[in-house]
Amino acid sequence: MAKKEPASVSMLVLALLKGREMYGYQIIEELDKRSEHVFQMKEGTLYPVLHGLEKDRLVTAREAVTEKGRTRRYYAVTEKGLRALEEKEKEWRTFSKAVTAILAGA
Amino acid sequence: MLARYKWAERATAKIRFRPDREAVARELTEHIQDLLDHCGETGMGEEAAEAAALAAMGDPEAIAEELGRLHRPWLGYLWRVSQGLLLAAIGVCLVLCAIRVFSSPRLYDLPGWEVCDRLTWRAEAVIGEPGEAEEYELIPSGLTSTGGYTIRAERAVLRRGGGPAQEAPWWTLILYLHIDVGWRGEELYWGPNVIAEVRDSAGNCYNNGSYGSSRCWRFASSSAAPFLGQKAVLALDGVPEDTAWVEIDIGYGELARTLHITLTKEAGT
Amino acid sequence: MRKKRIPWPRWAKVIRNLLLVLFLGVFIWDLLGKPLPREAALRRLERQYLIPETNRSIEVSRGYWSGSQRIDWNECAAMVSIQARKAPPYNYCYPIANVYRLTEGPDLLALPWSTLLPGNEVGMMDIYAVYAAIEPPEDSVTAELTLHGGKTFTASGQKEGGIYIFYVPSESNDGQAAYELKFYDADGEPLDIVMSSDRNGAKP
Repeated sequence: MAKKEPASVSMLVLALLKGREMYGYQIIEELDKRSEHVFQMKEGTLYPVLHGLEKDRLVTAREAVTEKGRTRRYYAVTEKGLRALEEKEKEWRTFSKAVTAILAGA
Repeated sequence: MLARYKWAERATAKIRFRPDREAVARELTEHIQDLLDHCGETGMGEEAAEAAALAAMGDPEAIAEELGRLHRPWLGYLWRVSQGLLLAAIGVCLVLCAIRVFSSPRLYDLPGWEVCDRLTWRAEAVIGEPGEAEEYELIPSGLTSTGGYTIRAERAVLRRGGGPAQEAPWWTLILYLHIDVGWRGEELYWGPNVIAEVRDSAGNCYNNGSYGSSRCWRFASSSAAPFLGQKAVLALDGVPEDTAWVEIDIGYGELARTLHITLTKEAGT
Repeated sequence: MRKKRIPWPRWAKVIRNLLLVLFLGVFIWDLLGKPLPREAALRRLERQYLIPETNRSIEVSRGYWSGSQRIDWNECAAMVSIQARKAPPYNYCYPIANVYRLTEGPDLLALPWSTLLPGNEVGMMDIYAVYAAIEPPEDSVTAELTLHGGKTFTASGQKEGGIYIFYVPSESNDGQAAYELKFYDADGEPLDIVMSSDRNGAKP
């Protein structure tokens, strides 16, 4: 289950998967790329997050074999996941607005 | 090369259900391979590259804790149990079917009667010598319901010959009945325990007897199947040729009924 | 070509397996010959003989032979059953029964299974045939059965559970025997006499 942080990893993963389905390594790469190296997490720690999302049915997973014979597990976001993402985005915007307001007034 | 599998083992050590543990370990080792593929151009040796990749993966014990909490084994165990039960049930079914196939399929062997076939739920009656002199069809009509059973007359055959010489011409009336047994499929024990009395339109009364005695009735029936029903036969020896109807009293107490079967000659006979 | 089949989630597979096991279980039960516990099996027999629900029941011991005969009856029919065992590999117990049509007033039934009891000589056992008088007069206290079989024999009956049970040595037992059944009240006065000529006979 995602920890109660305003910018939790699970929210970011859901946002990435909103575009297309990806496997573990791709997600790490995208996170790194899009955040311009700000979010660089330990590779292995992604998997508890992904499996937690799968258990809560926010994403689904399917196994596929590539032409080179590699087995990959692709994760895709579900309806429920999209709704949860919206919720978390709202929370984040509220949080972010509040922080900005306090910093601006300091 | 082996180091990554060891790492994956440590990272999945807390996943108790083996197929799940192995699946997650596979996913992790694939990820490590991806890491090595994409960062393989640094010129490090193979072992050093792998060590660097494993370092990038993180602390296996911490990951193991989290994965262990997520992948609870109970559903996995339940699944294994359900598979085992299913295989056992299929095995028992096959054994029982084999026993049935190889043991005798015949249920009712009555002297003078054809055998009742369980598979087709049909009973055929053959009385006396083969190649009987005369035989013709009558059209029966009659139906009664009691105790969840519905008995309907399907077919009637009047057959001549084979009786005591002093009573020639001697006729036997064979009634073919269908018994609807409903969803339960419980066989009706057609016979002297259920049949109380048998009468015909001439006022004769028939007793449960054996072939050759006058004014007696004989019976046979098949087993029953849910919705498919049951077949039963009643043969009356020594009936008058022009019998217009037959009455059969069955059952006990409030379940007692009379099955009244009218017999009509076929047109043109 | 990649397969586009979505695998079932594990919980769905579990439910599917358990449903299949249930279905096969019913099929196995049918293959075994539809065994039922004793009471349910007896009720089923009643249905199969078109007997309305029986409300009285009594077990008659078979003496030194194991088990007992059980009589279930109502006003119109009596069913006498013992527990038999199916041949291996099935091995379960099921009832086999004889059915009797009852008339108005007391009926005498010749039970199909005999009893092993101590005989006349010390240390010897004898086989006895068992008769039951169903629906005796209400105020009767004792009953006496006289059988005119190979030898004439008179037995007094014990009233158990509303019916009288008689034990008759097998020499006298003849399925077609003529009989007299006498009932007495508490003062020893005769209440009712039933003769075999009044009925069609006591045979099952």
